[in-house]
Amino acid sequence: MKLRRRTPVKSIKRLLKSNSQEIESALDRLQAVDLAEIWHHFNTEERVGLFESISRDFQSEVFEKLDLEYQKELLDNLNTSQISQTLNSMAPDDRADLFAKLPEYKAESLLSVMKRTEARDVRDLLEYEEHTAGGKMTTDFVTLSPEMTAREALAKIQDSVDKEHQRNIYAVYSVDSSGHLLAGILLQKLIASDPDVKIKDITRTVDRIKINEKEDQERVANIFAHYDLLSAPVVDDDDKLVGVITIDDIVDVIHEELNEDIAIKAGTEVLDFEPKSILKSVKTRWLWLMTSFAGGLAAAVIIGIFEGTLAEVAALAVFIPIIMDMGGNVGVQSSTVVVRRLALNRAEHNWHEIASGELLSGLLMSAGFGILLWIAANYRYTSSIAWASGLGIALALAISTVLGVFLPIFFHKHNIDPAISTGPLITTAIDVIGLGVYFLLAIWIVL
Amino acid sequence: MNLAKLLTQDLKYYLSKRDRRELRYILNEMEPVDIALAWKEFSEHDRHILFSLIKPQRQASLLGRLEKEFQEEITSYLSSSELAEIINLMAPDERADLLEGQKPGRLKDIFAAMGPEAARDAKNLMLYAPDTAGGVMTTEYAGVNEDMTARETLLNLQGSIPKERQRNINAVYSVDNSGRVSGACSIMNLITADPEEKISDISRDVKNIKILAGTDIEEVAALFTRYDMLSAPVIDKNERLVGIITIDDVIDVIRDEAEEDIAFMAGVNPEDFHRQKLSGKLKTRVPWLLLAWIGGIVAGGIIDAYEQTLEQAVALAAFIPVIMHMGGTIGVQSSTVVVRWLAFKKIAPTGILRIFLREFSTGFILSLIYAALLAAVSHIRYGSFSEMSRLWLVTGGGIGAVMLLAAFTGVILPLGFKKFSIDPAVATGPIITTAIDVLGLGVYFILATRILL
Repeated sequence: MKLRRRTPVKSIKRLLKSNSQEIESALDRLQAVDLAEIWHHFNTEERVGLFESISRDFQSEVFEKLDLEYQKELLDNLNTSQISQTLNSMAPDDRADLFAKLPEYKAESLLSVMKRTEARDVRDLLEYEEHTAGGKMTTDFVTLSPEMTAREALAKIQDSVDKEHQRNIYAVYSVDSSGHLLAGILLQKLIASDPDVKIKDITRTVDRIKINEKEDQERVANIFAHYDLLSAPVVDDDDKLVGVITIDDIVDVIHEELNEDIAIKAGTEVLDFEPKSILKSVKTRWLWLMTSFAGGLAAAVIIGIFEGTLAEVAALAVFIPIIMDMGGNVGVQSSTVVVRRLALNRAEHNWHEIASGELLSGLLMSAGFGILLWIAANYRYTSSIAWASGLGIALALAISTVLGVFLPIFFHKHNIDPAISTGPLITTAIDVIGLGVYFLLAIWIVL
Repeated sequence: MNLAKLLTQDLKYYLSKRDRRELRYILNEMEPVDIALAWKEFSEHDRHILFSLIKPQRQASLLGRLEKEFQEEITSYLSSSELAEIINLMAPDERADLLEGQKPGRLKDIFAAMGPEAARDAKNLMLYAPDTAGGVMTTEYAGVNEDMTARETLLNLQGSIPKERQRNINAVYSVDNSGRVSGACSIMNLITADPEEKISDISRDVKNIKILAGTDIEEVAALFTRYDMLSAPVIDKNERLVGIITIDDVIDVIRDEAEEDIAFMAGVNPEDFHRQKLSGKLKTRVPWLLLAWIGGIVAGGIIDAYEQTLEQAVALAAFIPVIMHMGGTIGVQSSTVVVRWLAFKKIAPTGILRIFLREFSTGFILSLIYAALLAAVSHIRYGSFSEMSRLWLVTGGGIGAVMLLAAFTGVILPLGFKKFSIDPAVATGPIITTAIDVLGLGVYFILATRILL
């Protein structure tokens, strides 16, 4: 694949200014993402002009890739027919995400210019939380009845297709007369079947892969990855077929979730990975830094409390860094593993299995490094300082293991993203607690 | 409760009862991937029985999904001709992976039993390195001449692909008379098109999404995510179509890549995310912690060296944590952004200089903000003591310098690792926080000695 390293912003501007006919063909040679990525180089007027120059069937693709602020800008500036055309052909889940972020009056007025079937699709999807199966599925699907023949099924699929706006279908599902999900078949198998065979004789059970509409998107992604699925039916609590999720929706989810985990862990946000302006980077990072700052000050207060102890035995300060460093690392190790395992695990109730393995290895390491520090400290300092530092680090590491294991589980149970507990939050919490324990031990042993 | 787990328990029960009929029935109900997951729960003897009860087609998909040690166990007791039969039913990329592990002598026997055509295909696939596009692609695709009509193509599809393998065919690639790939269309396009229309007229152009067989798999994954691709044709140097890659091959790569990054950030082994094994856990974690331990000792050594300074101004100790923290956090932020950028570098249009400038300016602004904050806090708390009247200079200057240094290290370290062919993600973990702690405390105490004493 040939890659354009840089999208030619300057020449696009020139073409735009000269009102040249060439611009349409120049833009069509770009991929939608590439164009969306340089969008901020233009001013409002240029952006609207640019969008209008894109060929019709490419417009919605570009629109999907734009940042929310630019989508809103276009919605404010385009004429009704262009808006209607763009919205009608957007991917249903991206479109629902957009509508969810618009003020209600705006959403209503946009819905009124859309095709009725598409508008209904938006309303249906808006009922669901964005990060659930319901929020990711499409409600525009074909259903088969078990008694029809393969030929009739194929004809029904062909009839259902909207020529100008085709959705990719991988599999079709059969339902009974009241809409309950029965079975499914891959499209390629359907076309390879004898035309006169009945649908119920060629479809396979989908019990293992059907997804409840309220299922979290990360779980849905796991099911897709586990069974190598291309498409899965979504059902409500009564087992009625309400939508279909396809692999392209899921790829985005997997990518999104993992990127999010990495970002949270680093104390920043995903948008920081795509270079925009410095000010935006500062804005996302400074709040995370504030956690570290506040934690650092809390640790300062603790050290302040023990200032008298420290003034008597200044050597105690020597072990502050090692307790902080190692405590943080152990906590991050455990919490990261627990968070990933929670994310990858489909069965809900085996958290104690996850916890026990982590606790064991963490506690073993606590003891080991405690002994190691005790030996090292004995060479340079009095034996009471060695005891205080050795015991101090062992306890600090043990506490941080426990926190690293149970904080994510606690967050998970209360529906907070457990990934939060793998970043600055845990290192900060552990420092404060670890130092407190260390100084208490020091007072008890050394003084 | 997990259905696969329940079925596994049933399997165990019927194994003890030696009820082959029930076993066969349950095995037929389970997805091969679930059987593979449960495989380690059974004894070698039971595994042998279970495998013999599975239908050949499902044996093939199970074999492709088992872990290496179990694959070896099975291949060692099957005869070459039995094995060849199963191998012929496997997906081409899994087949190549399995053959890769066989001894040369055995391989010859298997090839002989597979039949000349299948053996040639398998040998061809084995030529590609496993972490390239050629190594993960499948050679089971629908490629048709671009002059064929939609009707002819459909008929062709129905006849040419074995039933079990049809799930992989969701796109048709058209090739010109010299075997060069010219376009692609989905099954959906095919059945909704006018039957007499030529394939070349309903296909979309694939000029931009062709992938050379030697392309690194990480780059392929980056292309798929960036351009929302579901499948792409793989070509050789002469632009001939040699296979296709579909999104399900790529999803695992995307996942593995990101998990590896996450693991490095935490100083753990990505295997830990899937398996519990104490010795494995300790083997990767202890070295990372040892690094932090040594870093901590060195940092302690610095404090020790400045003990006199500390004795004269014990308040200095109070600000050690905040300085270490802020340095570590900003270092991890910068290095992570750089590592993510490196992962997408080949396809992202931003240059290295811009990344560097952006990270450094971001770090600069952030260090100014927090230098001011810490100077103010320390002055309010300790400024009233006459010997501490200049403490704000030490804390503010110290934290500012450390954060700036950390932002710089966070950018340079991953780039340097990359230069020496070490995975740059290593630089986001304990290494960077440890390095910054040592550097940071040094700077802080030098400043303190200069300014306060």
